[in-house]
Amino acid sequence: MAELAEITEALRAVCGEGPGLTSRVERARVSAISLADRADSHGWTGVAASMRGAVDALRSVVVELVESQRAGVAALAQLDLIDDQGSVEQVSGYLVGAQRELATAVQKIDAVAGFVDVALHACAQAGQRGLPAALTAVRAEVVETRGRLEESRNACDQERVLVEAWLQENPDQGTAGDASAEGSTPAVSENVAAAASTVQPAAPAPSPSQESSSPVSSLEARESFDQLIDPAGRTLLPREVPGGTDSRLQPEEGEDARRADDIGVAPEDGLTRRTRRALAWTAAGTIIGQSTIGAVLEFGSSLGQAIGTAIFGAAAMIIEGPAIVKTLRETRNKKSAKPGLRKRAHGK
Amino acid sequence: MSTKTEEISAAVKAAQEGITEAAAHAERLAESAREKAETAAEHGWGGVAANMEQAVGHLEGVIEQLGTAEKDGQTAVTALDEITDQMSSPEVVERLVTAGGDLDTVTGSLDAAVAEVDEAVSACEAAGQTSLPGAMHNLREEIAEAQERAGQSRTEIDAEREQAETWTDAVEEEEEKSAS
Repeated sequence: MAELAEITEALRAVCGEGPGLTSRVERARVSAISLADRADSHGWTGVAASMRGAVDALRSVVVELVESQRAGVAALAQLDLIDDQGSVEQVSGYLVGAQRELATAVQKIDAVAGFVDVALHACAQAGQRGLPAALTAVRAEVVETRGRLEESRNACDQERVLVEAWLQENPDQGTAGDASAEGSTPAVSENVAAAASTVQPAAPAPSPSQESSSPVSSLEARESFDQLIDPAGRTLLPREVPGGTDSRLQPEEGEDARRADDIGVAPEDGLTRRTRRALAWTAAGTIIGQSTIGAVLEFGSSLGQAIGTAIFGAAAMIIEGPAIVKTLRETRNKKSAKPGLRKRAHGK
Repeated sequence: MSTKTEEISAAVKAAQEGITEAAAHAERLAESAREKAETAAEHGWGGVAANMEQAVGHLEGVIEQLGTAEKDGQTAVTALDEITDQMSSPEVVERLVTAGGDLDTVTGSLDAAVAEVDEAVSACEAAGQTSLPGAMHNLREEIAEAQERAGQSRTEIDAEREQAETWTDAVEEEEEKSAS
């Protein structure tokens, strides 16, 4: 993971090479003009027209290169605004700004590559082989520059994710006022380095729509009760919440905290009434849930047993039924075939 | 301001016009020689008539060679005029090569025409004819002039072809010029 200084230096290096590249393209354009004029003077009108196409394309290359260079320098300016005095929110904002400028730079450099291709096509049409050799080298440099700009943009994006991840763990240290007044926000570079070493960016890179939302609003959305609990497990009182007297706790909790403050003790076991209520609801929910699940399981067991008995009984009747009927008939026939026995029975 | 290709084309056209004039001149000389041969035959000067018939034959050869040269010159002019419409330098080079080849044929035909004129002069001299050889010398000079023009155009076409081939690979010197 590149640190901010590395990102800035890498981008500065890319921007530093921009004028040289522009100068080379400008020379190639002058060369194309000279070749077109030469063709004109010889009466090779069609060839000259082909070369004029290359000249026009190279003029556009210069324009787009200058625009790309401007965007790169603007991104660099955004990154240079990040210093140890600023808040993390400001850092995130500058990183977003740098990303935006770098996206423009990449877009412009893509246009540059496209116009270089047009120039190459025009040269090929004119049958010119010397200039394309130079333009191919320029194109390779353009592609390399694009890659480096893209790397810078991705690095800014990752850096911004880290900053926001750091903020998520330290939500109350994002505002500039806290940082300057209480000094509770670590220096930016330290923050970023610490985040880089400890925080794995769990969330994927944000989509453009996510990027468009302001960092402040996203921080507001992330703030919850749990985030106010410090690592020691103690609930922060409203006055302890960095950000001054503007407590983001509910009035009920504020009252609870005031009471605790009035009597000179902290809330019992470091928990507020809301926490205790939440725990009670949780316990009740667990008991009710277990009971319900047990009843359902028992009912299910009985139902299964009944269904099994019915199925197996039916199967037994189907399989063994004819044999039983036959046996009963044979028994009845035997009885009817022995009248003496019946008489003896009547006699008794 | 005319371009180099236009200059070459104009020079070839001028040479072609000279060839056309020389061909017309040769036809007049051939007709005159034929009349003289017939007159000698009518008079029964068999040897003189035979020599003059040879002169007529050579002059007809001159006309034929000049006709071939004129046709090839026209082909060269057409190839040169097509250069303007070509979009690539290799196509330009191709047209220049075609024109150069046609001019080579023109030059060869003119060489043959000059040789035929020399033969016709010899035949006239053998017949003791004194007026025709002088006119034939003028024809020879006309043909030689057209030949010189065609040769000059051939050299220019060669130079132009080299320019076109150089243009195809040119860039370094252009970049160096612009850098300086």
